[in-house]
Amino acid sequence: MLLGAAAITAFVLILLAIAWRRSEGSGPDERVWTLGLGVGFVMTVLVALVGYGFWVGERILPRTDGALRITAEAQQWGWVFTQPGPDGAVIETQDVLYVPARTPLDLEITSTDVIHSFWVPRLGGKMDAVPGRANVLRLFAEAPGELEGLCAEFCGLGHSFMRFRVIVYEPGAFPDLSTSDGDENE
Amino acid sequence: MRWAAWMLAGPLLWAGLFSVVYALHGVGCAWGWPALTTPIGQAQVVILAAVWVGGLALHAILIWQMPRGPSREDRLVSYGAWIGLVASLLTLAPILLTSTCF
Ligand SMILES: [Cu+2]
Repeated sequence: MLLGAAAITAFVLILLAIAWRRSEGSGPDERVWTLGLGVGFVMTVLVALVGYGFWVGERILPRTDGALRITAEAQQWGWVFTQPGPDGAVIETQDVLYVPARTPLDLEITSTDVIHSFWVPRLGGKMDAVPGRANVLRLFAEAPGELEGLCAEFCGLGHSFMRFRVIVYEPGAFPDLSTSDGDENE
Repeated sequence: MRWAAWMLAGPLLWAGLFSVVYALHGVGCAWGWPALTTPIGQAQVVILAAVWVGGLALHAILIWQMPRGPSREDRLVSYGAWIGLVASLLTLAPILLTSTCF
């Protein structure tokens, strides 16, 4: 997307440079500029972007397909995650979220005090954590690894430290809790 | 100034149609239309699409009835009518393309 934006900017700057150098009255007529580049080009780019937005939006919608359900509870200032643990039994963790790779899952996001927002940039969109309400976000992690997450809604003095880690593991190979759990301020 | 009214009719029709579909979308979600099925699909989609198609028909009538001629005003009238049709076609296409009520 950055490359596309850079290419369009460069294209416009080149056109501008040509326009400055060109003598009056030469070159293609107004139709090319107004209809081709003014309407056609812009509409193509915008429709492509909006289409991509819809595609991403559809991907993060929860479905009724019996996907794994995990809860995320925000409070000032940290996250409590409830998810399946090493042997399938449910475990509760503080500021570390464990998710299996290549497995669609629905994250139920809520809060016990003020409004927070769950955001893992590498996994897609943000979702508000609202007291008394569970917002559901569909997540899908492509590959094992460790991702950064943070609170994306100002929630008080500790807001900027309200970070968490997402550990994506190979399904069936739950990581060692004793080494990866715990200290969130490393 | 009649031509100005003709020119604005297309965009105004788009604005009205969009607002009506948007409002019906909210009403449908509140009243549980997605759970109702009709012979041709989910009630939510069918109702919204019916209003959309009705609006497109009005756009078509507008284009059919608009004054035509070589003058600048007539050209602007034609632009307005076509812009309205394309806007309604594009901005309401998500009725068929996306999920509703989340
Ligand atoms: Cu917060």
